[in-house]
Amino acid sequence: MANRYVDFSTGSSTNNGTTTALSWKDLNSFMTTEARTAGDICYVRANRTWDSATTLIQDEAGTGAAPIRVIGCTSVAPYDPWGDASTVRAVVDFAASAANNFGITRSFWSIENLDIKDVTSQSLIEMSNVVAGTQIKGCKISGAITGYGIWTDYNNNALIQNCEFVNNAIHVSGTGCGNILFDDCSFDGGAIEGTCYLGDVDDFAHMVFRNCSFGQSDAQSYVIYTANMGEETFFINCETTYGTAVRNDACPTGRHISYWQDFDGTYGDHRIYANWGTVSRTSSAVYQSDTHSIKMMPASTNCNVASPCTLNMKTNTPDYKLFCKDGVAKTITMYVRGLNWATYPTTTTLFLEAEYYDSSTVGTMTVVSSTDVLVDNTTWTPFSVTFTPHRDGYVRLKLKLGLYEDAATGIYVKPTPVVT
Amino acid sequence: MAVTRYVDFTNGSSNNSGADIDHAWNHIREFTSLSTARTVGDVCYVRANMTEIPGAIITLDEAGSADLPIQVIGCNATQGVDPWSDGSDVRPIVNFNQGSYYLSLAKRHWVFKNLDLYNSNYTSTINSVNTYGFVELNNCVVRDPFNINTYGMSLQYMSPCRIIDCEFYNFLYQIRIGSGGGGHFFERCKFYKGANACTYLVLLNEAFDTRFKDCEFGVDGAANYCFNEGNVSSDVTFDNCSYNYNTAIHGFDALGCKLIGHQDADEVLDAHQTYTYYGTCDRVTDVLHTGGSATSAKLIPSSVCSILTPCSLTGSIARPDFSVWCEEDVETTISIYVRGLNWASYPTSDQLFIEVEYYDDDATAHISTEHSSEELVDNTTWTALSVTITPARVGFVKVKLYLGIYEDATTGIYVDLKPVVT
Repeated sequence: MANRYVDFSTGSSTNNGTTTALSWKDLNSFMTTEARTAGDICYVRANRTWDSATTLIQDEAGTGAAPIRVIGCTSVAPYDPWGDASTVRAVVDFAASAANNFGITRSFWSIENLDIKDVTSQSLIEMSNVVAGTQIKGCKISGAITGYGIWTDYNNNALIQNCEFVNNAIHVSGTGCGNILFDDCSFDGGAIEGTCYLGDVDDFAHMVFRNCSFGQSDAQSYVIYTANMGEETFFINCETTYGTAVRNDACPTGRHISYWQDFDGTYGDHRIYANWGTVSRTSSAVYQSDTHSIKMMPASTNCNVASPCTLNMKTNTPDYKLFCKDGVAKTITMYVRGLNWATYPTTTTLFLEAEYYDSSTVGTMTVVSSTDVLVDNTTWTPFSVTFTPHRDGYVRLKLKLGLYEDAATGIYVKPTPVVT
Repeated sequence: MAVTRYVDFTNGSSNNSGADIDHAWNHIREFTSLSTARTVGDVCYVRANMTEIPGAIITLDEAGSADLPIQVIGCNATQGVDPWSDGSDVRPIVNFNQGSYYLSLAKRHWVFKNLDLYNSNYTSTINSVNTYGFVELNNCVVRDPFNINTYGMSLQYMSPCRIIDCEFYNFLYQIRIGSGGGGHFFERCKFYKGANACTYLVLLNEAFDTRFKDCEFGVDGAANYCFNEGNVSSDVTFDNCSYNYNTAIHGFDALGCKLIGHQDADEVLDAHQTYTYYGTCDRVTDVLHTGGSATSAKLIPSSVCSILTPCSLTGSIARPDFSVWCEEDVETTISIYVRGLNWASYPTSDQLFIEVEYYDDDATAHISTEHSSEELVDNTTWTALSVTITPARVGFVKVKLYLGIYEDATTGIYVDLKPVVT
């Protein structure tokens, strides 16, 4: 493992980068010119600016245990080898280049505490195909005025932490990615007012935004815009200022689901958005002593029995899995109340479905559905299924609402199944 | 007003009205696109045991509805669908005759039942069309393309489709699921390698929320690969399916998040497994923690597992392994018991730990995380990995177990699935 040093002002590409006195002037010397090994660290002097005239790429990968790090210096030891005591991030300025950007082309690199800015190319930071374990920490990512702050393309398991995204046309986008955590990041401003999305997902899976803020000073059209699908994006305690939280309509077949825990930073305000409906936690309809119910609302004509609103909004994943014993008859009931229906759903458009093992010798499962119907918009109605499993195991339970009447119509659900 | 129409490949005519068996059409296309507009609930009966050479793409002009799909049904006396009284249950055959023709799923809410489609020279014998879907394919056979380097059925950018009791064989990929869409359901389907020994049975390419139930893979012998895992997929589940292959998964590399779950894998009761690129998780009952759960999880990391790309019970950073309800301002210790398996050098507390995520502020919804600090000391002792917290809010605390080191293919951990909360 080697330490190297870069000073954008006084360094030189003819130096060897091994000490602050022999620092390089550019990042290319560290990233590509000299071969890297896992655990190498490059210290970049604070409060210096480099106009990069090239696209940055990497030649070698780090490892999960020992990433290769590029660290913008701070005032805190050991991150201040020059003794500058400066808290101003080193700047990597692409000077509005239409061709160059900061590429992440190898796995397990960590980019820390840099101010990366100004491109007119597609993306400011481009995380390439088949790259894993990227970390971007404490960076400011700004000025992708016509493109993306980060474009992440077919990679996974990245951590973007304590970063500021400012004035990018779209702050984050990409395709074919998963398991990316944005932790304590802020997303603000945008060059194209009104069409600037704060987080754009396209074929992403399992992205998490935790303790993030969106649009603190500059409300934008959407927090998240799903071009294709990007199933399951999670927002945990994220503060939003926006026109519409989620725009899912660009792709009618998109299967994107966004889960919001403590929506807009409001404790207990949990929501799910999909283009076929919404689910939210509510106290506006109370069943017996339960002070909170779930409100399930078909959002569009995309809701039907083939693409129903469910408690988790997924088609094939059960809402609940209940362990039931072999040979013991069970009745499972969920209580449902109508909301604004003119014509009530039938047994085929609103029902509870249980799937249980039907054989003691093989793994086949049978589905049984409830036959209960709503008769008004005020009565909590039990939707029940009764069955006898033929072996021990989990019973898969789903409540399905597959009917759209209008945007104000839906159901309330007591979220706890009753098992007798 | 829904209507019923009839197609007889041998005796019908495009000059007929299709309104009864004596005036049957001779092509399915007359029903799907050529003659008169379709309305929701329309049904077309296709005479059994006849063969059509459509000489063109079979496309769809109008959509059905969720309640009233438009149906094309091959006659089947066994099913009681026999308007010609043929007594046959031989599926009508659509022979694409080596042309670049196929069934195009160009509108929503259609059902195709009891058909036999083959001999297409197009990329997919049944081809998806962007932004459509809600199609059911029931008791159909899709087979023997003219060019074997093709797909039997392609589902891209499609809303949830149901494929029930169907058979696919002799394609490079019997099924391609990917690039937008998801929510598809396959039940009791059979995937054959066929005479041309297909390379892959199923291509999973951005296949989300897709379920295979009671399906058979490699019915007639071992396919080279059961699955080709293209790009990002998640929540692809196989329940009570059987497999016959040389290699399970091809292309399972660092392309996005991939979660493949098996319940009763290969029809073995309780053989539940989860595959991710970074490791596998199996249900076991032979190594149990006394006083703990009746089943354990066995986590075996893959060679690309690291703490930045960890192996976990759910395989997702977004999903907790356990959710534990905790009260406000009550000090709570959460422990997950683990046991080593075949380690020569034991993982450190930075390589194996539990992470607990909890509300840390009573005025906001802010959350923090804490890690455990215990380490394994041998391969026999159940060791508690513990975190003590005092949540500032009542609510669920999320618990995740991370294993981020690979030693060899036999090395991993057992996990007691019953959290201990004190």
